[in-house]
Amino acid sequence: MSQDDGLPGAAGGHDGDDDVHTLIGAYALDAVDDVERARVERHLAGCPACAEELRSFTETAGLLGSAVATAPPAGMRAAVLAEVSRTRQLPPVAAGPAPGGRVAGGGAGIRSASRATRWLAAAASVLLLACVGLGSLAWTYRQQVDQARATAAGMSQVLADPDAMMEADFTTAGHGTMVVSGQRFMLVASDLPDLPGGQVYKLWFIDEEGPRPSVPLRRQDDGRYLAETDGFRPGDQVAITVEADPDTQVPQGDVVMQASA
Amino acid sequence: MGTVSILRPGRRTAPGSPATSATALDAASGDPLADLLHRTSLGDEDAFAALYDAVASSVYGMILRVLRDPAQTEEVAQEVMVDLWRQASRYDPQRGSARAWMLTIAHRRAVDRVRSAQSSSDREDRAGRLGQDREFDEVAEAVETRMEAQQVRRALQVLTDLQREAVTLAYYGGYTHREVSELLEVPLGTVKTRLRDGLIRLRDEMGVGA
Repeated sequence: MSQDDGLPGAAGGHDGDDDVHTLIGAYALDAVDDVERARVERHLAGCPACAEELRSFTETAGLLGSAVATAPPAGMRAAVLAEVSRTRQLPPVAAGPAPGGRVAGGGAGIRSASRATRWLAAAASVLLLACVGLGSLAWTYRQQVDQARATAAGMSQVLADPDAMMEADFTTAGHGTMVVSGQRFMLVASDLPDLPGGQVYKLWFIDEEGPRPSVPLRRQDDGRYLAETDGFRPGDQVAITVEADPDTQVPQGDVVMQASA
Repeated sequence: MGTVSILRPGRRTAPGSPATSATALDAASGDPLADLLHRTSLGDEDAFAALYDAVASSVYGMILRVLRDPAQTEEVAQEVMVDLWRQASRYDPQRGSARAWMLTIAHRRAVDRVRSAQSSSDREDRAGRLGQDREFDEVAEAVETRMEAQQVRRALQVLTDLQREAVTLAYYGGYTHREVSELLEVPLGTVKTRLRDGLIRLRDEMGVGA
């Protein structure tokens, strides 16, 4: 537990499991930065003991919150209820136990069979797109975009038996169409701004354990961008960021597209 | 509670008492808030209103502790409550109580806000001016006289001064453990230990189930 003792505030920088164990308490109190948060969440996936300890800490932290309960201002209730009545909700996920971990980011998760079933059940129809908070991204649900459909039809010929097709707008400019079949994932994006020297659009798959790096989008001769990979897992959310380092293992840059089913 | 509650006919909500907001069916579950959250996830706005009455004070009060500014607090607290409506379906009972889940979301949002809104030098100034003792005293003053609050305040006393100081700075101050290490001028590992040991003591003192 003392690998990084010494100077106050010294950056430990050790990546061993020992170090991560000691971060569980800080994590439960949100006293970690984003990089440490990601490390802990990856660790939780494989450490039931830490996940269970975290669960008890999270309950405890919740009581710390309740301890300082203070009546909100008079107008807040009505304002919240009014906003709620015009706010769309995230659809329910398929039921499946996810032992341990914190909901707000990660933790151990077993991708249950019912999750995959739900995914497959959405086959061949354009899906309702849900915004999943890595920030506030604007979404458009499109049904009749001829170019996108033509693209999707073309892609689905490449992938026999697509499970699902999704379309998404990028926050910059541009539009992407994605097709999934099992673990095979294809994306074609058009009208994306070209990136300055060395930067790439990088694909990520996100599950309860956090984001997993995938391939960079490859620019085609006609200006469209293409990504194909076998790294998709049913239930994953999909995101694209702009990265200066194509090999980065954690998302560093801005999110320009996000999708889930 | 200080708010004007518009009660719909036939429904009684008692602010701050989640138990009385639960219907007979809900009471069958061990966690009435979880049932309200579940109904909320299905679009039940009445259930959400009851949920609001049960947790808004905790959400608001905790965010106020972290942000200190009432105007910003109201903004963030409102965002959090609406976000609880939006992502109610994401709650997984396997991971803990509904209250802990909701307060986790609120705390995370408050911490993100305070870290992005203030430069690090500002935050060190703030901590320096207040001193760690005063930070805790302000926490104690803000506590309502409710049984749960009393229990937590008593539990906090069970911690060593050093543990309480670290936990207070981290949770109520929104500082990272590195920032706490710099503020207190102790090694990083020491802070991590104090936070973890402090949580263990609090947990055991308050009888939080495994």
